[in-house]
Amino acid sequence: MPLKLNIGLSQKVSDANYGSRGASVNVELEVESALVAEPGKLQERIRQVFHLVRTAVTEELNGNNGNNGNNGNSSPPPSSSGNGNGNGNGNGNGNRQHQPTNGNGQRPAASNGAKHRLATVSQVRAIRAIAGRLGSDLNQLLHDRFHVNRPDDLSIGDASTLIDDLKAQAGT
Amino acid sequence: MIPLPVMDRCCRSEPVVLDHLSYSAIHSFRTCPRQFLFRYVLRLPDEQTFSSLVFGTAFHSAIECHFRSILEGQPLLDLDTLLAIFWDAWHAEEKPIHFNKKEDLNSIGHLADRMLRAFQASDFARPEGRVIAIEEKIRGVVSDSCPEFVARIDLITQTDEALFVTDFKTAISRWNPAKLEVAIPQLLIYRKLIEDMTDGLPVKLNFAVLTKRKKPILTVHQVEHDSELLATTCQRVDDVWHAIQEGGFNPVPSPAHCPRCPFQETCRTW
Repeated sequence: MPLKLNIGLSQKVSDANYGSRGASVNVELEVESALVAEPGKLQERIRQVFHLVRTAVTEELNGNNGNNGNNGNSSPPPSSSGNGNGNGNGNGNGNRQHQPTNGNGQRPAASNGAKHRLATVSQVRAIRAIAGRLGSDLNQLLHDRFHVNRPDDLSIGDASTLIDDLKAQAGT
Repeated sequence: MIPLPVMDRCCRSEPVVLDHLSYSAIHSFRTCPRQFLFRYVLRLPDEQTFSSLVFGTAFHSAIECHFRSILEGQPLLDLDTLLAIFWDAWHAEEKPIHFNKKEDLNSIGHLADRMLRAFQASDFARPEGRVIAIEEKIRGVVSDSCPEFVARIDLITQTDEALFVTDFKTAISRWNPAKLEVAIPQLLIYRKLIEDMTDGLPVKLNFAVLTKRKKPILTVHQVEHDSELLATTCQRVDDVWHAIQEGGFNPVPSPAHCPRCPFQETCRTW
């Protein structure tokens, strides 16, 4: 009986004018069931597919659509057996999907020349702390000014601007 | 003792699977592949740790809080608060701590006091511009054929002119050019990892080195970007990863490194 892997990744980046673009790719593939008994190889296979998915998402967000190959920083991942299908989509305005950290408290990868990294963990923490001290309605503020729901979804520049403004309000 | 299943797994010639690499992992492999095996592949707990390591970690905790207070618009932390943070981090260490000769908690406390004063008095403690990140974990690709790289960057600040990436070190003595040259690849890799943070600004790389002396001195060493050296460094990372995949985990006994290895007992009985 074949083993089924379902691997997906979603990512969002900020655009100018407070906009954002998101892309998600999900891949389902079958692998040899014998891999269950070989956790190392199974993990390696999963890692390969994640690499593939991450590259696809990044290309989509960079507007490459896979047409111009890699950008000098990424190469095609090792091929994986089984059959996979990916479906990337970008949306031009206000994709509100949560951009998670990768489980280790790290912000999204910097691997492929995306122009804007999301706010750093330090900035997100500072925004929450200062807004908390001020008693501000952070969700409302983020929505009204930046069209995002969470400080994690701000760009670094927007996060810096917001921190400056909050500090000014706090008189520090 | 190492659990048997772990030993069994290690003895098989399966490829090593790691979630990520780091500069310290690469350094560990190049210093002693056996130590790398214990720490990064088998993930064995250190048998003991050394006062210098705990000191560095505790000192980093204190200055992390200092810069966090700046980012969050709080008043600068005073010396007593920084020392309290230092000791909290020191006492969080659970492994037995090996002290050097003529060193005890009292001397450690005096040293921390002197160094924190020197830090507070330095320009480095009051960076220009905005603080962007403190002790930030950054993940990215250094070489296509390797696992992703994870770096913990001590401080990133931004002015209208540049983005500044600083790695903070405590050191027995001031760095000479040779010491700086050896360390440069670390910052070049960090620069590569933060390329998408720059927003078009030039990146300035710095080591801030604070000496552990009677009169500590903090020196900021600026590092110029060197694309050729970066390419060589990435190739070295690639080479190390291939060597790891080949399973060459033979020990490299050395009078310089073995006495400071946290796996001495495990290594003897391996």
